[in-house]
Amino acid sequence: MTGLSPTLRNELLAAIPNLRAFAMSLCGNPTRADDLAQETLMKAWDKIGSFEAGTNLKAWLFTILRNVYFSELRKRKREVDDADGHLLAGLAVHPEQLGHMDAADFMIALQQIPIDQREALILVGAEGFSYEEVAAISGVAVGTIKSRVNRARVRLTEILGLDGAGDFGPDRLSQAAIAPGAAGRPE
Amino acid sequence: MTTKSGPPKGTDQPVVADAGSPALENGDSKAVMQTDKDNGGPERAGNAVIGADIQGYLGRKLKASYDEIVRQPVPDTFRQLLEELERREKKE
Repeated sequence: MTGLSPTLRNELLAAIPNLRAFAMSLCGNPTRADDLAQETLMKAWDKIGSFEAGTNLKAWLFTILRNVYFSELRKRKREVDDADGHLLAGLAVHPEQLGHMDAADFMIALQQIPIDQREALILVGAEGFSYEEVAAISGVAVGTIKSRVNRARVRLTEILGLDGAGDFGPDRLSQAAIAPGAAGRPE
Repeated sequence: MTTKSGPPKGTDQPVVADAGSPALENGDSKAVMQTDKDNGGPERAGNAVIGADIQGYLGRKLKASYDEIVRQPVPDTFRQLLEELERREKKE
């Protein structure tokens, strides 16, 4: 291996903040998110020879990260991790009114939606990837991604009580957060 | 708080995180059925329509929250890792 070109190295460096944010959105735990991002960098470094110059490096890195995360999830199946602790720590403030909901509250709400929907929503809505790019990253059909993004929006609307239907008290988000298995973990 | 493994507090407890998760691959249809009943479920959710105003609000909120994390300073451990990777590479 002859090493990274300066351009590629800079692109890799520039992607780190986004890798951290994506990892955080997936796992909801800052420490684990940084571990994930670092593991992604190590893997990327080892496999950089297989990266096709001129293609989207960020998409390539995101693909590695989500693959690392999902294979880890499969290994951890049914195992209780510390995501709950993080979740509970963030619940001191209830988003009783939308105007008062800050980023942390929103990220907690985001953790309540199923992982595959969350991944699709983040990649499309926060990272700005196209449906086609996300389909390639996640290894599923474009239609599947569109459906996941739509479900994610509907679910988020319900969790945040934005649809105004029924008995969504101010504690709804908090209750959702402490419900068993609420961290988006697979069963 | 120690309620994380406790039972649901009420009958209208939102059932979350199961629908669409890898649980589906395990044939865990009971959890999915329950989710359908309680929350409109993934199928109905897939066909539901959200107003443009709500969708716009969600989009802005999502982007703002995410960007807040992106803007956080990168921990020093990342620089150390890259230096270590480069050192290792020079040795080879």
